[in-house]
Amino acid sequence: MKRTIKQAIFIATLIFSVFLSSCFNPVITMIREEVDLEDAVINGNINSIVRYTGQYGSGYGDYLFMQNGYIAYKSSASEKQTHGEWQDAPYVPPVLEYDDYLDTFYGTQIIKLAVGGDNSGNNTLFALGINYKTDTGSTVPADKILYKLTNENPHWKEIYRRPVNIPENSNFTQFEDNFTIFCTNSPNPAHRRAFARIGTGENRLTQKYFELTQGTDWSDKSKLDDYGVPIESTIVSTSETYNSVVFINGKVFFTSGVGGTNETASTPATYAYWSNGEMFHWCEAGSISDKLEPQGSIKVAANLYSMAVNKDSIIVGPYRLTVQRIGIEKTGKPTEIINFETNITSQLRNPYTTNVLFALDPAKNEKDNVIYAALVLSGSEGATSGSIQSVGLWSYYPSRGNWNRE
Amino acid sequence: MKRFLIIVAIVALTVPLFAQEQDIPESEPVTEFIYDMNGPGDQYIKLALMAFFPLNFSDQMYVGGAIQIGYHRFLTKWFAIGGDFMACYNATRGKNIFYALPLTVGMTFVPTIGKFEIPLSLNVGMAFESSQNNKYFPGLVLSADAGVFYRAMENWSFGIGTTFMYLPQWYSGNDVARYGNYDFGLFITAAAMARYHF
Repeated sequence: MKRTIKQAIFIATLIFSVFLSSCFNPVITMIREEVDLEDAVINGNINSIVRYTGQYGSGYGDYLFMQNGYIAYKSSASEKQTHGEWQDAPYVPPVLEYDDYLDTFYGTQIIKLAVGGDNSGNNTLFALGINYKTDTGSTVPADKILYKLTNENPHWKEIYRRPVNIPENSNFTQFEDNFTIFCTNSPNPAHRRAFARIGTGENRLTQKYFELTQGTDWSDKSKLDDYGVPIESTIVSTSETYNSVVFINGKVFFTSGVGGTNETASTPATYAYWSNGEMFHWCEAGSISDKLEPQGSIKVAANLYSMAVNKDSIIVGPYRLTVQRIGIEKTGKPTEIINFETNITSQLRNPYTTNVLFALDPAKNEKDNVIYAALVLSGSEGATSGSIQSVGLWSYYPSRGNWNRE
Repeated sequence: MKRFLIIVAIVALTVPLFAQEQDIPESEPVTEFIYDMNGPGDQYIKLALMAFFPLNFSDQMYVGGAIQIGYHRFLTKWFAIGGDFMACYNATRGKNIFYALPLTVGMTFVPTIGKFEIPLSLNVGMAFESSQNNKYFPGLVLSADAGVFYRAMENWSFGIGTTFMYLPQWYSGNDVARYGNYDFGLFITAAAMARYHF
């Protein structure tokens, strides 16, 4: 009798554990959506794709810039929205390279871009770089350097340099030491604003936010305080860590997660969207006073790292998980998480994090829009079952009709 | 006279033979030895190396490979029951890997012709299926096997065979609107196999 009971308990436990660990993803159907992969032309960790309107090289126009250690660019004209049109930007700061003989790196790794501007639509492109030094046999970060692209002459000018402060007992990440840049990235050139977040004080825990403009230049040490922080007045000084900014109602609003609006090149934003942890929030433009207060929220799969606003939906990139799509009404009000109409979930998926999402024209529906995305891999290939070959830029072109490597 | 002596000699030699036959008692049973390839209680372990062909994926999936190990036990000389575990994979069009781990139980009918055995099986079980970090578990597996084996040694037989496998998947929630509520994979294998009999 006892043996029978033991056997029954064993079988029940087995069945229970099988169904506890059950999961029913559409494995077979998603294989049917796969496409032949293009040869990747833009590899590496990408943290920003920005709109820039202005003089570049010999021409004035609308450009897209991105960084992956280097800087690449392309015209934002529709005929250039095909695979393989990105070009390495000329006149960039010396790129990061490894010197076998000296066993060290030299040059600068560009880790972020931001575009600032004014009400007249004059844009300025900023690039944040990092260089390295060899310290007791190890290669460690040395300085972060802020560059500005001058319109008069297509070259990059160093406007600020700050030694990297690596917190003790910490694995260094590129943004951990509280010096980064970000921007509104608005479709309307007159709504583009860029900011630098710089930590000050002994532990760099107080954040100061400075607007980056055409006139920004902190290369003169007399413009810095004892901590190497610019003396000029700040937009905000706070212990809050903001990572993005949106432009709505003629003003900027900082957010801790990712942010965006439904602004198009010809119409102002009527809704602001932003994330805080695993929550996606929104509010109407008319409801905003001095800060963004959620009028509604949707729980997403994980902390969001990216967001791209289309006319009919918003694509969001959760940490180490497959992208999600939030439907929006014609007014711009979000509805709920809905299914994609493209093969995006076959490509921008776990274990990767979609670090950047960029919709070229927010006035177009997702399926008709040109959309770029950057995948990064958190952890090693073996530990995550990801492939380093997939890390880099991905794109969706309506003419091609599928998501693929750029 | 000479002819007579020869006939007598032949009869004299032949008579003891008939006399011997006449000495066997009529009640003693006749022992007949019949060799059966398999019998109740016989067991075998099967190992198979397979080419794994997707049937209903057009160009989305390429030919892959599989290995299988199984244990079977004869209930009669014709009929065995047992289980098989298979690990199979296929590369996909998007440079991903589809893999499945089916665990099945089944019954096998094993007719024999001389030293040849022709096992025919029907199996049912569950599988873990995965691709692109998407997972389906537990998935239903239905399969049918056929093969031909040659009993090369008392304990070993070698052969070739094939398995037809059906892997259905049912979806729910948000996936239904996007992907429908049902899809299935069909596969067939070409296998080289060895069996150890004990």
